[in-house]
Amino acid sequence: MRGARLRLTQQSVDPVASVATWGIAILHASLAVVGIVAVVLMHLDEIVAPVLSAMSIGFTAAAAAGVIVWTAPRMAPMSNERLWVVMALAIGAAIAESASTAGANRLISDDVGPMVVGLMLIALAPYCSWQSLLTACGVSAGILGILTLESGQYSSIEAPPPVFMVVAALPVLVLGAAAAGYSRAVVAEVLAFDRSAAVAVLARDREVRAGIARSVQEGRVTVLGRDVLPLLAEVTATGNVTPAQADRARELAHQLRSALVAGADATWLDDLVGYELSRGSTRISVDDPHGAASRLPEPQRATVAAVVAWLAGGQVSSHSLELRVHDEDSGCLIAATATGLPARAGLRADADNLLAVARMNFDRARMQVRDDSIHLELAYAG
Amino acid sequence: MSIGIPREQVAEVFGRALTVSMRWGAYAALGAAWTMALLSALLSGEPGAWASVGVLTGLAATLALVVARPSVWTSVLHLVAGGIATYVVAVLVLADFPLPDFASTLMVAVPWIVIILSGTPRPRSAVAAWWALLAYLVGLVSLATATTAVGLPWSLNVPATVALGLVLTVRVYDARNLRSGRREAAGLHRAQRRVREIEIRREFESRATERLHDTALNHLLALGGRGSGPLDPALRSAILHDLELIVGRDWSEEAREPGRSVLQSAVSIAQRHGLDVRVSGTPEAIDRLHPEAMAALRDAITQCLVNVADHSGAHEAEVSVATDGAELTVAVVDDGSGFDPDAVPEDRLGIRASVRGRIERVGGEVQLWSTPGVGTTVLLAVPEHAR
Repeated sequence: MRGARLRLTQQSVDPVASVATWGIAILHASLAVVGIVAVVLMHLDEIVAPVLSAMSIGFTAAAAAGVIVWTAPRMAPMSNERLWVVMALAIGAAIAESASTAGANRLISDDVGPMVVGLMLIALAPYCSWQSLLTACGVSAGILGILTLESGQYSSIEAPPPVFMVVAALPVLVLGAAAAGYSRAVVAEVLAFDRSAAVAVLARDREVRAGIARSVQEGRVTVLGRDVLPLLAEVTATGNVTPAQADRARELAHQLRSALVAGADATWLDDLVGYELSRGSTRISVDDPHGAASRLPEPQRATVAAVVAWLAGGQVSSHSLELRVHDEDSGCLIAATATGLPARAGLRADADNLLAVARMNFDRARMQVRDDSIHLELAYAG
Repeated sequence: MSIGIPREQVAEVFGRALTVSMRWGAYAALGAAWTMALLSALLSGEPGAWASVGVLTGLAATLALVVARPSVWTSVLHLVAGGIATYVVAVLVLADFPLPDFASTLMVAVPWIVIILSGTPRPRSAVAAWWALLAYLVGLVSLATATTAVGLPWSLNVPATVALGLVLTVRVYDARNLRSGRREAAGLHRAQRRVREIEIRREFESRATERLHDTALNHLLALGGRGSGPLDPALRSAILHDLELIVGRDWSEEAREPGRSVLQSAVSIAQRHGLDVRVSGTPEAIDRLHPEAMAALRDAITQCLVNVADHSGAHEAEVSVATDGAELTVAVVDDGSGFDPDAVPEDRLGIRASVRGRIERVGGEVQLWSTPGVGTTVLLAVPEHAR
């Protein structure tokens, strides 16, 4: 449990916020590219290997591209392997930059390579665990520090070699620590909120349960009160059953059994759709012949409910929404197709945001957005 | 899985996380600067290097104060300490390396970066951005004074300016953009509440279904099956008992007050249906269950016995109770006509809802073996700590 908690990221505990942070990830990654290009241009007089300078720009651009693509909502979740690919490219850029001025690097402390590595760590902070970020920070700082021992010999500054190591690693250490600190703090904040929310939910549940219990009982008694209860009262009062009463008992038994079976066969998804229909939203149909929707745990149900509300409710207002649920091993696959979508600005962005949330909560999630329809598939393995 | 922070709490939560993040950055910067100063002092032995260690230690102390007691005064003290540290370090470094462009490098800017990152007394981004700007101005004045003191021209310090740029970027982005992107989060929270209500309603609907199946439906079937004529006194008594249960009692209250002895209650109902019941094992263990589990088990056993009485043709059944401390199992056995479990029509709710549904709702499970002509065994297993 503790191990799992340590691997948590902002993207996993608050997927919507990590969608919102994509913009800043793009900004930081782009800043790294701009920075290395600017510094290469400023250090033209120190460059002894132009090819390596070009490589440093290329590696930085590749790392930035990796950050931008892999943190995109449609690509969620970010994996540890992707973090290390980005880090390898960024460290490669720093090494190439340092090597490109080997023997002519006057100040060391104005190299931008370590800053590139640090910016990549900052950009990835919402998508990686604090442990991964701290490990990546330590490894990169170590590599860059050792690398500086060589280039420090040619600097115009005379200082003990360990000082050069710390100077070279400092941007990585500062930005890496900030990234890890953010990741750890935001996960802790969200988990603390979840705990307080769970307590509030329990308190609210008690009130809601009392109200629902009453309304269910009253509803059932009202239905029974029309025919069943009068018949039972009549026969117990007279102590005798007439042929008409026996026939009526058989008929009512059939009706009651049908009603009870229909209720027992329905799942939470039927109830959800019933609620949406009662609000007068889109025409919605559910095809779940085996009741597979009942296999979804509550958090996944909330995501499906949000999808249904989004597609059928005021935000999208599709003409019709079709939900199909299929058995899939011990889990299920939910396919939602909304058609007759009105043209609306921002639809695609909203769809991507919701997909990012779905990708965090389901084992598989994919979405196709066309001009007037959206098809979404959510797979839960169980 | 979490679905995140609701809109109204975003500013506080992300403001605090960013503040922690920047403090971690400040710790790293201060630690690195202190290490550099100490290494220089130890390896070079110059008294000036020890002065750097001293002012950086002072800066660390004010940082600790800001973290422990965040207020405007401690933040101001921290900025003053940062300004002094920036001046002292810059004078010492620039005196050692009097290069024209050295004032623009990281070597002289670390204390300055520390206060840019950690100066704010409040986590909210709108406030923190102004404090970062103030810290930048303090460092700017300190470094300008230091360059003048050593006779070097002033130059823009790139690392400190980049640090300010990064702090302002994330703070402004947080203040403006993170909140505007929360619409789906709000949708998720509403959806979560809706699903929770649906779950609760479904639970009560299931209980109602079980209750109506065991009472009203069974009585209607009995009346219809027996045809016209005098009403069997046992059936009349059962109907009257159940009418009171349906109309006169709070269904949820009844579930929490299962009665004195669970098995006695089930057996007495079975006896009204003309069934003799033998009990073996440790029946008292049932009464130690959680009231929810106890009520579920009582009603499930009752339904099993009523099924035996009404459908098996047997006149007696055995109820055997066993416990291993973790799980309580109840076997209901008869040697009646038996049936093919796979051939039970889907609209029959006796086993499905009234037995299996009840037991599974409290975390238990049901197994059923039946062979036509041999009899039926139903095994009900409930965790002893189930709710």
